[in-house]
Amino acid sequence: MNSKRGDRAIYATAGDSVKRLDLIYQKFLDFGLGKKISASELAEMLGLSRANVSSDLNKLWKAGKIEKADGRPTLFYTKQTNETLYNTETALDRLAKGNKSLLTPIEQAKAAVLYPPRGMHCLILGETGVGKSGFAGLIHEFSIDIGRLDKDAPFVVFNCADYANNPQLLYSQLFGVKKGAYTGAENDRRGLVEKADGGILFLDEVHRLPAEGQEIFFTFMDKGTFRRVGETEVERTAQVQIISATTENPESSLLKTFIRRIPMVIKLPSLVERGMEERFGILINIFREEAFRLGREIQISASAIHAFLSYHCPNNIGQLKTDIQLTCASAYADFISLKKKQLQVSVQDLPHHVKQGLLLAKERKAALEELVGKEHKSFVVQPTQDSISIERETEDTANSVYEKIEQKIQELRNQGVSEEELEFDIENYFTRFIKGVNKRINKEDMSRIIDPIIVNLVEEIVRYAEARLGKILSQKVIFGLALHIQTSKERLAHGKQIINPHINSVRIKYKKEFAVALECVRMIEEAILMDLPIDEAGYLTMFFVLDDESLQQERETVGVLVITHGSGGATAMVDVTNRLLVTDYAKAIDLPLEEEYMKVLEQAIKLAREVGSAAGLLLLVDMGSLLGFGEIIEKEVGIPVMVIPMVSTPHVIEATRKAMLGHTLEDVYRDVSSLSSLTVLQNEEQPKQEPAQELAPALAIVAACLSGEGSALFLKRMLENRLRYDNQLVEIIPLQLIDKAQARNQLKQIKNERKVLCIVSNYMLDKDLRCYGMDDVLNGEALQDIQQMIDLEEAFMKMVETLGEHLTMVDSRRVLGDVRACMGRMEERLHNVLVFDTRIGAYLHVCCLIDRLKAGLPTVDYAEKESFLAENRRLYSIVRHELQLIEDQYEISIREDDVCFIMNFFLHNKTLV
Amino acid sequence: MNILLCCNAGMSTSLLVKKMEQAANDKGLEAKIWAVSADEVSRHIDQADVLLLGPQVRYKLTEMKKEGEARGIPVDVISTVDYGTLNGNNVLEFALRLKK
Repeated sequence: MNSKRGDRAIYATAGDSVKRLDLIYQKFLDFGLGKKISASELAEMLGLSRANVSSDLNKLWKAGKIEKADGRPTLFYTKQTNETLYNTETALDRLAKGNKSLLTPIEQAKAAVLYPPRGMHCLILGETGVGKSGFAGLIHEFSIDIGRLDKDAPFVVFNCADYANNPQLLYSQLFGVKKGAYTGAENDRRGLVEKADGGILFLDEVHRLPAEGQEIFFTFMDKGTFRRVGETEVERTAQVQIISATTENPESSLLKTFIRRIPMVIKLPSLVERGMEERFGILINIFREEAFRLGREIQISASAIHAFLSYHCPNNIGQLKTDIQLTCASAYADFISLKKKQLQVSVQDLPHHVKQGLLLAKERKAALEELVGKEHKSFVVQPTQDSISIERETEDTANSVYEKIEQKIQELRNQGVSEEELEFDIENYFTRFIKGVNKRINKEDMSRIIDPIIVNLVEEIVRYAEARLGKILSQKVIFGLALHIQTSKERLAHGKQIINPHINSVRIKYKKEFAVALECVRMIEEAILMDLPIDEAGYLTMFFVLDDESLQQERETVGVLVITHGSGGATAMVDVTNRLLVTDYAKAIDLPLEEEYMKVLEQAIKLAREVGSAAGLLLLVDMGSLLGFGEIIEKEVGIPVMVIPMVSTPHVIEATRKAMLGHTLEDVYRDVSSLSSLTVLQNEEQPKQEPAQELAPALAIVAACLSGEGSALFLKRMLENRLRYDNQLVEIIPLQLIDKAQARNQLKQIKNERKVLCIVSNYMLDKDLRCYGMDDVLNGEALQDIQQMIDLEEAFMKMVETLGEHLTMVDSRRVLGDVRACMGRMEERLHNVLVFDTRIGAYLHVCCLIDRLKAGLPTVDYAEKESFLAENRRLYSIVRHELQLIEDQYEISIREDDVCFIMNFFLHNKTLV
Repeated sequence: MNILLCCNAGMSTSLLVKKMEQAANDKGLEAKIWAVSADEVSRHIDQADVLLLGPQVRYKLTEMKKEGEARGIPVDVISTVDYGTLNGNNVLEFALRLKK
């Protein structure tokens, strides 16, 4: 305890002396240039003892800060203008900024340096990685900054641990060796102590200095004298300030002697002791160093910052630095591999143990937010700028908002938010809301359920959205929206998260709607006085978007038609059903016994056209003879039909209810049939098990339906009927769209195995593939297009075969592929898509041309080439340019004449005469 | 039977010519089949019984039809698929049908 108190006393004096020095120098600066003053005058002015002032003045003079005039009493003056004490900011002062916890160590260090006559040896204590070596380096810099050491004064670093097992070697390293001192010492050699003469020797891990030789060291520290190993007579001197450092507990026996000899013990705080604010500064600084190293700005997400501020980092700044470097390396890899457009550090880049910091971060969320700032979503560290710029979220830079959204989802995932919590598959969610609302709840019910504030709010939102989007939202969307907002509010009030896992794709797909939704989120926030997550915008977007689609879906619900014998039977059942469900959804045909079969059928077909849809029609009948109706209606109307025999009122109710909710024909059929214990007809829509083909066709058309496999199958059949194709080459694949992610995966797999010509679906599944809406296919508009694609592909496949027989010099498959790609580029650049006829001709032509040139055969001259070229300069240059690749690939040279013929394909690109 | 084919530069049509000759041979049909570029048609048309255009020179059909009608020679465009797949047999039959 004694020694400890003693240290403190020394520190206090030393600290005071520094402050006094500052005071005196500041006084000089206040005087301005040239004012001369004696020590006693100054002492009186400042109320200090003359001896102290005199000593300080000499120190300042030695440091070159003030000038001495000749004569007695000695007068001092300054040449400096009014700046800080040390004309530039010193290394230690820079460190002091923003590092309050280091103020004491810094003051101690300054005192140690300034302590007369040549500074004071000191010992730096601190855990691994707190920055002891760095601090010693700063002391060295500081000594130079203030002129206490020469500009080129040495700073020698020695790690005692390196030689701990070999004391002899250690001492020879430190103090040098006399020639012949031991075997192998063939020359006189200087030690580190001599090398450090006039500067600083930094002894790291000083506790590893072997005890038996410590005395020699202490002698040097006390007197500045030493001997090289093997020397006896000569006593050498060196002026060295020794800074030693250790991680050991200063109470340990080894260090006790040491500390007794070293008056200045500087304790550097651990990272935890530094506190969050400083940690923030430290980590930003490290990031800045990395930015500088990489020569680019680094963007760091707020969550990543939170993690770095919070994680358990036992090895202090050293570890923090390593972890940040690792993180930057990972982010940089993504950046280089073009996964990211910017050098961004987000949570997924962090090493696992750093990510865990987010768990701790939750506990001190408030403190973190206060420090980092709630509104800051990310930080940008520039490689050059001294201060970090903080990127603020702005309303108009929509892009950065999107990026943040993306990051947020990722980060939430990484925070361990489970997929269950990231609940609601967006499609299902919406289908449920929108469809359900319209059918089940009427307006009066609505106002009973929904908070009037929200009803008003929704009206406001609808007005705004309609104006911005230039369309009218349907009544049911409005109700759905109201219900949704109400639910969201309740969820938030219960502290549940609202997360929209599809938010990123939503905002990409529906940019305009998303922008509107963002504004609506703000409106909602104002109205319900709650902060909404950005995910909400994703949901709102879907309401605006789905309005169009939902109208179509409405038509796509399964129709329900009841036909029974006997007057009034069907009507009675349907009336009950419709009354109960408050709808007029179900339809009925009564079949009086005397009615003609054909007449009833006609009526049924007519009604089926009205109530049926692409989703199909459920026919509920009472007796055998009507079972055949299903097949006939299916053929006549062109929609899938399923028949439930032995109908009863409960069947009709169940069927109608399910159909209205948008269940697929299969689902409705299954549920309704399960009501009855009677055997039902064989499910006609079951896909027949196709015999496994040895080789699947190379081409595919994907028919995708939201409402289930049945309608996809139906679509497939319709396409099969209406398209001409070779089923060795082309297959039409039905795809169920209930789970979009799954559908995408399936599609991806199909794409891997074969070439997908196009998709028939109302949903954009893959932007690379051509997609036809179901409407366009059903009304035949798209069929011609699809047919042409099939023809082209078929011709193309056959061309490979035929060309293969004829081309002598090149592989037909390869050349056709290359030509196709080449022509494709021309088409793109010329904005001139070749019609089918021209295209086939052009492919063949160019393939043959290549083969011919490759064989060294002559090609035809183009008549009136010059005038033709003069008229079509731009065309020529584009075609020529794109042919370059072919020329290179096949090592041929295509003549101008040849180019002219190719140009003709584009000039006369017409289908009809 | 003389069948004249007209295409852009006679590049790919020559392949079709070979295929058609083969098909004619198989049928035991005596036929002269040759291909020229559109510019050269006027010099060859008098020797032909039928003139077939490649799909890529379909735009010449009106012009060629005039020339053909003047001489009583049928003129038409080869089916794109047959052309693309170099189906010599189909094209030959097409020519024969035209002639009748």
